[in-house]
Amino acid sequence: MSSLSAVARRELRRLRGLPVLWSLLGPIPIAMTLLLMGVFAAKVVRDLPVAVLDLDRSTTSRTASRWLQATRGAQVTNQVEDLGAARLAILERQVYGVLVVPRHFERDLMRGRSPHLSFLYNEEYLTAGGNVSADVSRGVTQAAAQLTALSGREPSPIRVDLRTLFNPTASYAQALGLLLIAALLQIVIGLATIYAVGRELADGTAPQWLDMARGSTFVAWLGKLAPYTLLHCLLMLALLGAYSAWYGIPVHGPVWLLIVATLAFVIATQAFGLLLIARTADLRRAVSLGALIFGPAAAFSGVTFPLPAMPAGPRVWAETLPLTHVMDLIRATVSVGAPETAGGPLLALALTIAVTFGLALPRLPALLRDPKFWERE
Amino acid sequence: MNALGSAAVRTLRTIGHDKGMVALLAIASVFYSLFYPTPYLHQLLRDVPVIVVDRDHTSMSRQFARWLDASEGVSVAGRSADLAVAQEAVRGRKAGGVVLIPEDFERHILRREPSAVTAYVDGSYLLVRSTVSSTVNTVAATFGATITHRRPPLSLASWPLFNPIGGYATFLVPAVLILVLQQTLLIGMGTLRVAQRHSPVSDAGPVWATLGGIVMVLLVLYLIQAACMYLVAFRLYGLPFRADLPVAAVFLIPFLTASVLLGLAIGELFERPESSTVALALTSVPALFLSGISFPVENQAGWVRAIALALPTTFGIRGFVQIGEMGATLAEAGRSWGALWLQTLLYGLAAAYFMGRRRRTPGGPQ
Repeated sequence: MSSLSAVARRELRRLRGLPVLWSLLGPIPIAMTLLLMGVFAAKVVRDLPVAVLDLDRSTTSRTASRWLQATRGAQVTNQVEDLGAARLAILERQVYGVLVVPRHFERDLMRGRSPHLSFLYNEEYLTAGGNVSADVSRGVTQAAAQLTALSGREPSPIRVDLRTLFNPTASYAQALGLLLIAALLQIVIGLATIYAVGRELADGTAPQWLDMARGSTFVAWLGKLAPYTLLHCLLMLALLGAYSAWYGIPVHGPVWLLIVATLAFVIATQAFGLLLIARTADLRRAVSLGALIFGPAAAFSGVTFPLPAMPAGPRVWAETLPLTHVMDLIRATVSVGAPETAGGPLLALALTIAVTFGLALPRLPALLRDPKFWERE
Repeated sequence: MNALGSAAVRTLRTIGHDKGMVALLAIASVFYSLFYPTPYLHQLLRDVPVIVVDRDHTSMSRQFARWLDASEGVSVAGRSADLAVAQEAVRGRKAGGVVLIPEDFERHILRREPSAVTAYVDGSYLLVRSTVSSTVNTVAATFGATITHRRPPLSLASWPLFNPIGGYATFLVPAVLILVLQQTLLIGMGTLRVAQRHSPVSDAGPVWATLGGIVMVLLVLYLIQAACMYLVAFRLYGLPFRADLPVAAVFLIPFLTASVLLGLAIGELFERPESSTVALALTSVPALFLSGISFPVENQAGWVRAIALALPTTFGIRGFVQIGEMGATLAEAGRSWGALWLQTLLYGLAAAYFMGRRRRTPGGPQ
């Protein structure tokens, strides 16, 4: 027991002399989380600039602007003179869409000829374009219903009421923020594991490390990795907690399950990182591989683009990454609250731990003892 | 000019003698352009399972459910008499939404009274939410149009521009690949400077020549890689690319140069070859969001938008999406292009200052 704490204390002493590593354990992820909090400042997509191209210039056509003004997503900022100006305003991202009011709009409306409004929107900016067009379409439908009441004519007979479960305002801060924090953490945990072990190999300091453990392979590895397990868990719970509190995201709990999920995720990612450094025994290559694997993991997590819609290959890769499963667990314990769905993802993380650790295991004694793995730069 | 040439040769040698740098600076971006788009290749969500709660039990409500099932966006995965049970299935991720058809659905329609269905959608997956809600809206409008032959007082046609099917890959991949160019350059310049400072052959030429030589080599390497991305990966995956290659290259030149010079300016911070990867790996995700492609800049905090001005990606993504995806001319993307030249100037001065200071440090590495 005392040799275990000796190895852990040595690790913390080493950490102080490795600014790259300690920056990775706290300052960098905290700064990046603050940036993301600023990104989602408005939480939802609202008041995006749109333009109106009014070819009718009547009293009625001017009210069309007011219909847009009443929506959450759109705000009229420009009047454009022709389609060329409309195109340019969209190209330069001054506006995300243009409402075209046709010539004779007022006259056709009065005579019951059902005039046609057009809304051109920028779908290359999918989030902005999709939200603006949905809100504008809702706003015009409502306006049509009011006109019907005045004119005695009927609108489309079936209205659709939309209720968003678990996230009533469709907050992007809630739906994306937790994913991005977990994705940052996966990079932190993976690279920190690789770096903590890899520097030992690169510096050729494994003999002192093994000495502290009094020659025990098990004590050496446990004493080295366990302090980081604790630090990563604390950082992850603190960031998820602070972020949820700031944006008013409910933590449905149970909290013990969130803690179990965090621990499983941290250990699975550590095992993944350990596998990379153990198999390459090369700090630089393992760091590059880690950045390549963990860097784009959010794209594979199934939160932004769901797993069932992925082709088979990327889907298998997605299931291999701890992030995919911890996102299910965060949904189950934080934003939605469905603890009964936690079994599958916990099992998947346990499997990841077993397989990656199993593959790394045969190398662990030799890395401590065989000089051929050291100072390979 | 001689000094410039020898700095370029020296840079090429340093990169060529190091497998890690060859992989990062000459291969990684192309590899990434083949790997990153793969989860999004189907572009859209199809047949999201929904549960129908039919409280009307009429031929019209059953027909509405069949129409839902026939749509591209959703499929009816089950029926339930109990709304709470159906919502539990959404909570348990067995369904993406519930469509409630109320009592008197048919009666209201036949009497020409307004009728409403309610769509309950899973808000924890925003793409599921938008797919289910837009599908139910379309089905309701089409269904309604077959019942009433009177025209509505006015109608709205929505025209999605540049990405007509609303494809996820078409939206995200072009932006991410620009991000990849910047991130590999920032990391790579850190590694390159470490290698050059530790090299026994010292930097002989003036600072401007060293910087110019590095920029020249990296421009060639990266323009070749960018051409591979747009000629190989974009075609392979069927992603639109509307620019002429020379125009795209002219746009990318200040973007790549600004990234190289920023990388050289911060590269003086690192003492070991892998340090820049560890320190910068976490910046990719925030940099992508600061560009405003995934979440509009108009809804971001002012201080975040100010920080974004410092990143080449902020203007690189904005301008490249204009030129490559929306078919703008270079002049129409002129503001972004100009901003990138300004960054090139500022980061050039910063890189020259830090490199000069490092050389003057007595006893310090060259």
